[in-house]
Amino acid sequence: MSNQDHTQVSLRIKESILENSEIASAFLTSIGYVGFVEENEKLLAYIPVDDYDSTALEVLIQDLTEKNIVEREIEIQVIEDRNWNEVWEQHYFQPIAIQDRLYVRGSFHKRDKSFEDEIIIDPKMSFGTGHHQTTKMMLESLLEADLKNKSVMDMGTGTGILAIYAAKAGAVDIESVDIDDWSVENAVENFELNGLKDKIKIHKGDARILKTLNKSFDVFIANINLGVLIDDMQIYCEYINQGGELFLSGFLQSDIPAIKAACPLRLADIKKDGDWSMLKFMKTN
Amino acid sequence: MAKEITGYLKLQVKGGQANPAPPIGPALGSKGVNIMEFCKQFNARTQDKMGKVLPVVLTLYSDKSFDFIIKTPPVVAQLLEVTKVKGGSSEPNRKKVAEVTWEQVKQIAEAKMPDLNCFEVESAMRMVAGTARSMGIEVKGQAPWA
Repeated sequence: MSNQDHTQVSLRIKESILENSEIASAFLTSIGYVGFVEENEKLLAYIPVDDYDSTALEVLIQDLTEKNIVEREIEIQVIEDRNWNEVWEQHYFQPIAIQDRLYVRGSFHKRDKSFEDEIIIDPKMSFGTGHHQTTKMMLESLLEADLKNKSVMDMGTGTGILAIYAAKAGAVDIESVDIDDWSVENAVENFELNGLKDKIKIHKGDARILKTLNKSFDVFIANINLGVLIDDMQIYCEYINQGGELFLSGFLQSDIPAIKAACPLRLADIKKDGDWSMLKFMKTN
Repeated sequence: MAKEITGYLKLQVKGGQANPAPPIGPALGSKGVNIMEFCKQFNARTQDKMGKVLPVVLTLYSDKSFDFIIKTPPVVAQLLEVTKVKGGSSEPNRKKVAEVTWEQVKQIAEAKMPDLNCFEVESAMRMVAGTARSMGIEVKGQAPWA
């Protein structure tokens, strides 16, 4: 959903009082607007271009003007999709070391030869650079695991960082999945940057892809969020080989009980970092 | 040493569904904040409010890090959700657009209490009922304290 153009409607709120801005945004939400930026007496409202309905907007603005909530004049502009994270990626993304063994850097950073291994990531608005605690814990946990000759599924791959590490650690049959077009494209670029384009397969979609692949995996990785992990847990577990391992992250420490309750496999490890956590499960008889 | 604050941003974003598209992309991206990190944190903290539009106030720091506070959904938004009204009544005092019960008013008031300067649920309910009436939504029946 992230890679689409949006219509931006700029409204001027009357008498800069908080409530008028809240009323305007609540009514705009009721006709499909998905998000807002409040700046003093200005309210910027966004809707995907395909959902934009000028008549519905006209009727609503008329109504809100009569109620003395917004000014009659509005400005409408199409905001084309682009890499919104470019400023951070190009100027503030610093290389990061994982357990002094693995070095994660952008293609524009210099190599550090003191590390045994490195991963090159140009993130382009996808998640997974090693900076976030969840990615870091997943990489640390995978560093401790034996991935040699294992088959691996990386669900919600983002930049592809975890699948790339699996390939570097000797896994042989690696597949990855992401729901976002932008991430699928970016993961492929990163596979290529690391010389692994032919070693990792990628699919656009969600856990339901597993039903079409007709195979199960020794190692299953998913760093997503609580809701998705719980909803898809049964499918994940079905496609893990006996003796296989499941690595989950993307949820807070306070959500550990919910994840444990949803996963029928044996809990093998817990990692915590800040508010975040990572759980590892084993599929045993 | 305390980090230097460079600004604040007030957004309204759907719980559990933040992504780098607008409004988050243009609002945060130009400030050099890592959008993906904000989305991950915001979504993790709002899993229980999936799809509800939530006000969020970000504090931005000079090292490009950030903090944020998530507020409860605005009373108006909650009233619209409960009554399924789209758009409002242009004559709130004369034309009734929908009805709510005092029980629904109480639920909204309780959900909103953390953000209101009210210590008693009754005061919060009076505020919610007032907002409802100003939108042309009638509160059905007698107030519990009447």
